Amino acid sequence: MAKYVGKRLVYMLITLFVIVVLTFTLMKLLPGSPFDTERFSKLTVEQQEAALARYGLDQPIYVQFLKYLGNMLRGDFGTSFYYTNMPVTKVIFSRLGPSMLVGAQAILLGLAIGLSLGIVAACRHNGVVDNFTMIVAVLGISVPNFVVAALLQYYVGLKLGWLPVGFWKSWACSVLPSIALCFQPLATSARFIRAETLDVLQQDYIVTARSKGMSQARLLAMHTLRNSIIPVVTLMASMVVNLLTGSLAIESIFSIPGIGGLFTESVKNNDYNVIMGLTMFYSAFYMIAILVVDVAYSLIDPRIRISAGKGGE
Amino acid sequence: MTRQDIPSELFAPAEFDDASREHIAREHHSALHDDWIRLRKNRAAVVCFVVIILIVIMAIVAPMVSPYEYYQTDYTSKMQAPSRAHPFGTDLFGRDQWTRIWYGTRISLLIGLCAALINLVIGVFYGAISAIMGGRVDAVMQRIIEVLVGIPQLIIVILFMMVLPPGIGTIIVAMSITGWVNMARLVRAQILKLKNQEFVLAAQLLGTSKWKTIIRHLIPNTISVIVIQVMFAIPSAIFTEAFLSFIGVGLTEPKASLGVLIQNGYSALRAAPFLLIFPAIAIVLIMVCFSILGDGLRDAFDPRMKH
Repeated sequence: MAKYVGKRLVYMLITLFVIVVLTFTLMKLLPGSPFDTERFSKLTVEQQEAALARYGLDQPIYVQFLKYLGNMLRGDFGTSFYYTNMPVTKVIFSRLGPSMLVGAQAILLGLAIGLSLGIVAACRHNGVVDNFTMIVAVLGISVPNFVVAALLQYYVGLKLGWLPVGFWKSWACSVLPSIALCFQPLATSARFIRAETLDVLQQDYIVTARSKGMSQARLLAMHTLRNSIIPVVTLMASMVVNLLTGSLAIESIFSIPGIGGLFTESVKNNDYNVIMGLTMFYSAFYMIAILVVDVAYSLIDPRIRISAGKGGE
Repeated sequence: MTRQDIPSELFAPAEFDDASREHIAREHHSALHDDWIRLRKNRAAVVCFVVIILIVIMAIVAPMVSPYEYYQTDYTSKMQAPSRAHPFGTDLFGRDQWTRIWYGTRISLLIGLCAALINLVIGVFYGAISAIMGGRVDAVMQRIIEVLVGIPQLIIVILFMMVLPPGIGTIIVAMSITGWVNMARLVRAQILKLKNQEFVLAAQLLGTSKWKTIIRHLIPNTISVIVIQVMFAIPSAIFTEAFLSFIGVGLTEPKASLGVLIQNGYSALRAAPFLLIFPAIAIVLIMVCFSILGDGLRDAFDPRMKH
């Protein structure tokens, strides 16, 4: 196990290095400098050059890269060009809270509704709840979350005026974005737990328990759910990806001061230190999430044994 | 009637005819034909298949027969609600929304199809080579994949979109950079599984050449995996395009894709909600149909998987 985790960590480092090289190259290929956006339009050419020199942007590219890499290893991702002189790590960490709140709420809400729907659907196979669940499951992965967000904002937020939109002050502001983001986890978990539960219900030990006269509720709690709920852990990786991407569009729709909105803003402002810092943050977060899921799954379910030789197969 | 009641005279030896013993009563079906029969039984999948074909036909024909062009502005009829002249209304610049939606659908489908095809070609070759060569080649190719799967695709696509000039080609290229990895893994796993099965061994024993084994036995048995993956890759590419255009790094005006239309509709939401709703319905319809058809195909190709 330790060997397997070690090996995965090495791959993570290689992947991160590839991403640094890739993002760095791309950022250098970007047309325009961070100082020719509207905000800096009053700068003269000399002032712009001075600003470039100040951030070390006038040096040869490989020097810039090595410097960047060295600083990064010390936890310094440079300073934001847009939020003048704020270190990138500080900008990112100051924006982390709202994203985590909305993300966690969305996952919990989605899982709670999705798992209950899926389990009921499996117990009443081909019933009304089952058909409803399947429709929800298909719609949940087919309707883009930014469309859901836009419609929620307009109809629930503006027309009905039930919940505040357009600013970020109280917990109430996080409700609509969480709902908009919860549909994907809801749909995938409902579908998944339904299939798993149906599968378990056909096992011989369920028939045995039933023939012994065990009540439906006890059967469900003691024998079915215990077995069908474990593989749900594997969905976490896809949910994390969905949250990362979903937050990019949804945070700008609802004006949430989170990292998703920060990323889209920085893309518009050519703020490349922030873009690179966020790319590294997202990538590391994503890879750690996948690793944790894999390890957790092998710990919970002893049937899955990870050997050092078969990573990634 | 109990067993003892049957008089023994009623038992007579059955007559055998050696020719009829070998007779195959069921009509001969190829594997694909069988799959097609199973798919046909899935009504939802068939309906979705028909809807997709209709959408494709409309996306090709509707902009051609429409009296308006997708970029044609008319400032005397801005933001009009749906009417007989403009079934889906007009946008901020007086462009006919009906024409724009079908044109946008065309572009979105084109992007989805091209991205899926590129993923298919790269993924199948990569996966097949990795599985067939085995040994050190496989090891190196798998290490490369392990590095690539850690990259969050959308972030990298956005970065590429920032650098490359905007356009349909750029979106397709950007999505293809890491999009093929899943296909490669699936194809490799499938071929590895097949490679050690008896029928392949039998073919080799009978002296079938390596290439013939690959073309006659390995590839046909991998097609189901490939088709299913393509069915899921198309809507995912359409979604990615819509997402990119929505956050402002995708296609730019006056070009239309469903993403661009949704973005325009969103910014005009208060004045004209129909500008968002029609393109949203279009994209949802496409995604739902591909998703149900993909599930249907998966069940048809592998009946054991069905619940």
